Amino acid sequence: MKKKFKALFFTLAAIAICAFLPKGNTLTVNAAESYSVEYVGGTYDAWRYQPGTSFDEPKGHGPLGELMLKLKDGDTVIVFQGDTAPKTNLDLGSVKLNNLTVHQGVQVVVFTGGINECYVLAGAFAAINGDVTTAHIYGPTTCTFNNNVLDMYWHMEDSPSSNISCNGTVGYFNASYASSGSYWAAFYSIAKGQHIIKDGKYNVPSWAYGTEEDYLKTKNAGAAPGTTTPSNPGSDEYDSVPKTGDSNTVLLLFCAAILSFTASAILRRKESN
Amino acid sequence: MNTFKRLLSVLFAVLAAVCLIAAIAILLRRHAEDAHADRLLESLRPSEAQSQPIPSLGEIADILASSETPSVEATPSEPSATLPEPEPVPEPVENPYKAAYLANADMAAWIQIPDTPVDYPVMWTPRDEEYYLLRGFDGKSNQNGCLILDTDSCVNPLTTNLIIHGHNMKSGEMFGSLMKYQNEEYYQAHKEIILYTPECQRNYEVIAVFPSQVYKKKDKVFKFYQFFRADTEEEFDYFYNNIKNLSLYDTGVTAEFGDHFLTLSTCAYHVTNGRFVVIAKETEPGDAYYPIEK
Repeated sequence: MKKKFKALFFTLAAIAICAFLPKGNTLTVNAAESYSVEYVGGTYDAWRYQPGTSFDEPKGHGPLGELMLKLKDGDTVIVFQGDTAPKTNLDLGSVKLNNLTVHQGVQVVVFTGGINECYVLAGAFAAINGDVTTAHIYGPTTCTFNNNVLDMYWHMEDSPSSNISCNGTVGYFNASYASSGSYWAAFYSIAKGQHIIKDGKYNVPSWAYGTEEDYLKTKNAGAAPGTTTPSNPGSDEYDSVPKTGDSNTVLLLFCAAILSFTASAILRRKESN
Repeated sequence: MNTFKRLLSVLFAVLAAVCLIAAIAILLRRHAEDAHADRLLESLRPSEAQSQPIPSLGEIADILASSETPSVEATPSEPSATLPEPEPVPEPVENPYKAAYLANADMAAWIQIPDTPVDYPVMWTPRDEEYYLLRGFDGKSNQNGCLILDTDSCVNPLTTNLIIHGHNMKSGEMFGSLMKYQNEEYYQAHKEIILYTPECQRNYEVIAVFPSQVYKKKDKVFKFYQFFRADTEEEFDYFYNNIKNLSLYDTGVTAEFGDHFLTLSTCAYHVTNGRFVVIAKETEPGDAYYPIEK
């Protein structure tokens, strides 16, 4: 009887909290999703998306705005080559993607809130915004990372001609031949904006390298390189735009009242037993 | 131990009572504020007789043309009949929101989306953009606040884009109904927006609807809230291509360099600092008004 009473109270309290919680505070757990994105010309002339890992235009596709409503931290986005050159950047908002793959032949400037694994395939022409934990670049390609990269792997072509640069810092850089897998070079803690590969030639000044210890420190801190030192004060500030959300004070007070009442009732019940 | 439990039980009960009383007190206060604001706004809205649909310039021109036709036919031999008809210049009319303009000089316009709750004054305070964010039309504290025109926007001289911010109230007040534009059917039924400025009535048609967000200063992305003027075609194209790209559905409305826009923005919760945006393009002009002082 006692257990039933307790369970009833907790269930009622949980239902009340869920019912009263405003949309902004919704408690949801969603599995990671994959989305494919392509720039579709013709009447659309815009970035369009489909759920899944392949883009099949005749199946129908949705606008980027709709994707932004669905996209959440941990999702995967695969960018495919469209039938025309994009007129606009691919803005994926501030979510932190688990995986971003830029396919062959894609021209794209992509904005994200960060990427865990980033793959830039051969023949792509890409600029990536957002800190990257691990980047795999397959030559020949042209690719610019505008923020920091923790681990960068360049899978080189036999006669390297790629253009790869990073405007942030690079924690660890490893280059190996894609065909044989044989190792070519590795460097640690490359200074901000100094990681430049032009026409396949590595142009990093000797002073710009750090040590493996520096890299491990950053890696163990769990941050992308460069984020531990303030590079540009105020750069993480948000733009000044009026905040136009509704206040949740009343709902939170009601929730607190229900919880307190439940706790009080349970204690009283225990005591009387 | 029992005493401790009893004490804890009493403390929780007191806490529950305090929270409940505080919540009820806030609700009652808000209700009183809302009732006051509703009464005030109702008094500022034009009466039924005043709000009869006033024909637009085009309609007036049509009426004048049709009324003149018989007289032209009746005197075909007059030499003046061969001269081009002069463009009819309609008389300005009284601003239906004259009382509101006179009541508060901070009012920049009155916005109306027919058949929706959006029927409010729009305040413009360059000295402090957020002055009316939590204040009513009379400057008194109010949770709903007022709709505010971004201080980088201006109705006279008119900037390319007017951005209006409003609270996304759960009650549906202010811009609480704006999220309904996610549904294309809702858009189809509410695509017209009217802005009554001191000088004239401006009519708009919704061109794009999309979720967005407030970005960090360092983010070099399309920021809808930073577009106010298009001095060059490139600036216009950047804005236009991006809003069409982001729009949740194709409205079929197009625009070209030189057009004017109205952007309605409210908070949304799909991401941190999310915003929901409805952008409309100005269509044919409405009535011209007498100066407010007259």
